[in-house]
Amino acid sequence: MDPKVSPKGEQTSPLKMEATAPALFASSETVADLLTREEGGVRRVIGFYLHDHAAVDDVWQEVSLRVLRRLHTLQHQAAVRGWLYQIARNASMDWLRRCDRAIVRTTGELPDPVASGQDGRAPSEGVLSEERITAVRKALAALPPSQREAIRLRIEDGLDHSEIASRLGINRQAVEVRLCKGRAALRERLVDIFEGNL
Amino acid sequence: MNHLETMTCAEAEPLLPLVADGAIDPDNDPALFSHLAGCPDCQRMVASHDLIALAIARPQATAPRRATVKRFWPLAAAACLVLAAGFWLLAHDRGTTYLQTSVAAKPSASVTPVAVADSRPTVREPEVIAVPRADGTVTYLVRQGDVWMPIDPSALDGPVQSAHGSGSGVQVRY
Repeated sequence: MDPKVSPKGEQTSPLKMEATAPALFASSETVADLLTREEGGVRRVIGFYLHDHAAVDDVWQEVSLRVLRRLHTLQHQAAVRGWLYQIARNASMDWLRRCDRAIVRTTGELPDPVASGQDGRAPSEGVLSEERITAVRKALAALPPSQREAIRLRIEDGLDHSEIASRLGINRQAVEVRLCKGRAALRERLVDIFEGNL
Repeated sequence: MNHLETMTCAEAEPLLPLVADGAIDPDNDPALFSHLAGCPDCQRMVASHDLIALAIARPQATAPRRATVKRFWPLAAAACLVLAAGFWLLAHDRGTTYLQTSVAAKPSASVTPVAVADSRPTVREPEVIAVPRADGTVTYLVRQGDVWMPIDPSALDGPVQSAHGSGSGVQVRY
């Protein structure tokens, strides 16, 4: 693709064209500059979700594309780093969901221990190993019924807070309290498994 | 925008489950996300919440046997077709060979043209071959199954005809 030519006759990359449109960064900063500056931090975030270097590279590319496509949604220049963090987090989770769906669809079983990722493991296996899934189910079963039900309706059934409130006959604030306490309790029980090697 | 940097981990931590839940995003709490962007400890906690949710949302494994049958049934059907075709061809060839052998197995008697036994309208193979020798004589060979055996020409009940013209010097009879 031929580079575009600015009115002054300078050749500018598509990245620079995109960056100057919202005028949200410092006058001289482009999207490429932003990505270069934040690459280390973004890769660290991705690394909390994926333990495979090749997968981190893939997701980093995906983050770069999303930044270009969604730059117009950034509302405050000062919030750009938080916005970038959220994109990295969402891209990592989307990548894991895609990978996990592919494994389950192909095998109909838990992840294959011999796959194409690093150390002979599937890229999603490190975070969704059988050991972890078993531990999560045990921890979920040990929660108080009110919290467990709220979490199941939210995560397994995909209901929003209002729908959960209607289903359980409670108000929305009570739903958020149950979800918050339940998630915190799950993490507390599983911290050694999920954060031991991060 | 220094206020974005002033949130502490102690203030952020109670909100992290709601970040994982999607109830808080960068638009409605930029200060929290600004802290998250620069705090590896809080990032790690949000990642734990996210991965736990991913494990909960993971579909239950289906029965492997059923999945295997579903995956391989086209291959099994193709294998059955190949086997059926193989059996049909084998049975067909055996029947023809049996008839040919039973007719040609009497070299001392009159030889019946095998074309009577082979009803296939395809190209027929010769049953009797006349091979001219250097001394001017002719050796007649008759097929017995898969081998050719010399035969007394007086046993033939008719002339041997050329099937391929005179170029080869070999005359055949069907």
